[in-house]
Amino acid sequence: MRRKPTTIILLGSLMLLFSGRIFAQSVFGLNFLGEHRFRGSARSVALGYSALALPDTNNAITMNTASLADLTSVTFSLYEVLGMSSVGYGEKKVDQNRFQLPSALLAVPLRKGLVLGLGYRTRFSGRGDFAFRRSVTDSPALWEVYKLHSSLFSVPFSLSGKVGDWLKLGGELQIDRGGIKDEVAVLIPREDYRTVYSFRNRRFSATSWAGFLQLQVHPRVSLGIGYDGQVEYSVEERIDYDYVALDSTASWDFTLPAAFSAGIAVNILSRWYISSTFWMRDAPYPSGYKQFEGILSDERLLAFGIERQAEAEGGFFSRVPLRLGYYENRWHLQFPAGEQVISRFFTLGSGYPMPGGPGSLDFVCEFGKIGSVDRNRVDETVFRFGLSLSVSEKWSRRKVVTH
Amino acid sequence: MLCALFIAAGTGCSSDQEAPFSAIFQEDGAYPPKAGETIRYVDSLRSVSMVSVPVGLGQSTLLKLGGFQGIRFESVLLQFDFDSLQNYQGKTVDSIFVDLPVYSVQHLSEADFRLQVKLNELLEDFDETDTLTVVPSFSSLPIPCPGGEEATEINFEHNLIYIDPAEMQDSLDAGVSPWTYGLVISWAEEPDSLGIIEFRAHDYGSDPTVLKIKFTDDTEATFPAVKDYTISSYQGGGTACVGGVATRVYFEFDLDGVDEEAIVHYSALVLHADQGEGMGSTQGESNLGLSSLFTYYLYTPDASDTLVPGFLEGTGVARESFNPGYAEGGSVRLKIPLRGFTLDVLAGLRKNTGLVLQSDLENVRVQKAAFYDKSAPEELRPYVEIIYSMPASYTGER
Repeated sequence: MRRKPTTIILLGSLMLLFSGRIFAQSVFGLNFLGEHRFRGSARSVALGYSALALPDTNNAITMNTASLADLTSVTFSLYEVLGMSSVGYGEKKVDQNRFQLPSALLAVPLRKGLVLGLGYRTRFSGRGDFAFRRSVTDSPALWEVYKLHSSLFSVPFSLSGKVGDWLKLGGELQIDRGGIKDEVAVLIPREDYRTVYSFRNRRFSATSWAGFLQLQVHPRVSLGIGYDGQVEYSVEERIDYDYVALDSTASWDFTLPAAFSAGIAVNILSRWYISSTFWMRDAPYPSGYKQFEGILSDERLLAFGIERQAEAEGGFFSRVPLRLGYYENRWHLQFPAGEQVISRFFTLGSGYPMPGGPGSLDFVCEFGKIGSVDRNRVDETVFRFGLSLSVSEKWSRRKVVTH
Repeated sequence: MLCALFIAAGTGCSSDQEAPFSAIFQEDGAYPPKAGETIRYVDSLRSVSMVSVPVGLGQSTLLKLGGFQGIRFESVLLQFDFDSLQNYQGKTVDSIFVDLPVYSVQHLSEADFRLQVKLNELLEDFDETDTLTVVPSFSSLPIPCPGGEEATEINFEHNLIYIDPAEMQDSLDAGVSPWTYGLVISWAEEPDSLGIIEFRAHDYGSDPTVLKIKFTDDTEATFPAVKDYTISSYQGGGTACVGGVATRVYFEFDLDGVDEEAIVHYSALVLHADQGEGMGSTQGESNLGLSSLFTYYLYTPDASDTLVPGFLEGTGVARESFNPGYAEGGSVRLKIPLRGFTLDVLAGLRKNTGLVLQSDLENVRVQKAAFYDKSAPEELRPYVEIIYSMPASYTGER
């Protein structure tokens, strides 16, 4: 059955449409910069973010920019996540659902083995929206309303190339931008009562570098290494009140230390691969976050995955890939002080060749938990559904998925 | 299928309130933004005083004689058109009287209201557009009645004020107009009971006050009033805002107790109106369909010195209506929002020259709103109320 490209465009549009309804990320994202978003497509996530060393011939969004060197046609990829969670505190639970901004990347082969990339990627995101009812003697009841919206993102310009059949290299120039906005309002829901607002806007801007390589050390073994250079953000803060005389501005630098990653992938059977990745970044100094002084720690990710790649022929289940993964992410954050926030997730995913043209539609389901009531007073049981869309030239011919 | 899943997830899943678990992050200090404390501040006012402003109502539809709630309608000026008087030269006056077209008589005490009035000749011209708070100069000798009496009683049934025919006969014989500047009808004595007699002014449009002469040959001549004017005054006490006379109330207060970083949600001048002392409309005005609501206008004067013209004008703060009077009495609380006034004063953008309350119709109607003052029981005293919040803190400190 052949489908028109409009189907793909419709799916892509729907993903973008829902991205406009971004809601909170993990509740722990209420603190600091927000929740850290690791790079990668639905395939990477389905392998528990262990895919640093795995080649990818089909997707422009990868964990390893060097992998783009395998692309032979112009490829556009989009990744979107919908999450649902149940937040526990004490013996109580509340339900939350959330979206995040999609990642998008366009890869353009300049010649065989040399690929240029350009895109958008969220580094940190967080959102909160909550209110408390208060009372004042002889006055109507009031609401204290708090809103947080943080989004730090990168616009990467990448160049990836092949050196022989065994080494791929990738470099990125990243334009890092974003902002964190806190809004506090005191609302008295009566006629003639003004709502008192104040806003704190922090604007982040920086330029950073990243470098990657993927090494085929054996026909069945590949290695991946990544270095995401430190990001020296310039932060411009502005606090605005309804009473202009109280407004203030400030500026300072915030350095996000470099991140290192290393991974391995092994072809254990003809279609079966196992992979693992370790990623870490030193604790940043919490400039502008006095409350975290002395209690931020290094962040680590340890991931494992197994993939059974698709076959070109056979039954339905033979023609789709199967992916399983597990990862453990130790956040920078301690909450409360001395108690590390750790998330652990199991992942499961698959994919399907893009109808009507080369590319693929991959999905992933993540199930796990962030934090612990015992240690962190709050935990979050999370289910996430992610969808990757990857389309390439040429539409008239279906490309065989080789991963 | 995936589309359906996304649509279902996007529209069907709802999130619970975040506040319960977010509070934990706030309490711990990990999420430091905190709203500032909200405070209710009450200023009991430095002073409340009354200021009289000369106002006249020369172009009313109804003329009034009588009094109520301290408002006195003591005199009515009348000027007649005697241009046609020469047509009656040579005739003998049999009788002459002023015919008041009584529109209503309002009995404000248990006894029927009746009023003893006298007539005097005006010695000075007047204009309806003038601001007259007292009667222009007039002859000290009343114009006598036919029997020589000086006073005539008027009420709903008796609305004719007879004049001694000799007063007119001399002018008629001499071929000159009598009472060139007109007549003034005024109280002959303090009335025994409270009430108001209202009669049509020439601005009513028909059937005005006339002066009639009956001649001995059974003919008669009618001379309509071409100018008329009710002279009114307020002689009551208390804290009252009276239109038409006019009396304004001046409130002075300090806001020293308000924190200099306060951000105001709401501020109001709070007054308690004594409805047993107010007057929204007379019976005649009600019959004409005029509202009995008192429309007030609150402004902050350009100057705080009550003797300079800048005090009488300023920046408007509020305009609203309420019912100022009930026969049964009672009180009503007015919370007059001060909106931008307090914001500007606290921000130093405006000098605090206080607030002045006046009738918004003070050049149009006589109305009265009475308020409890600072000597009233505590729950009825006037005050300024401000509800404000301190600035939010982003460092976790209130």
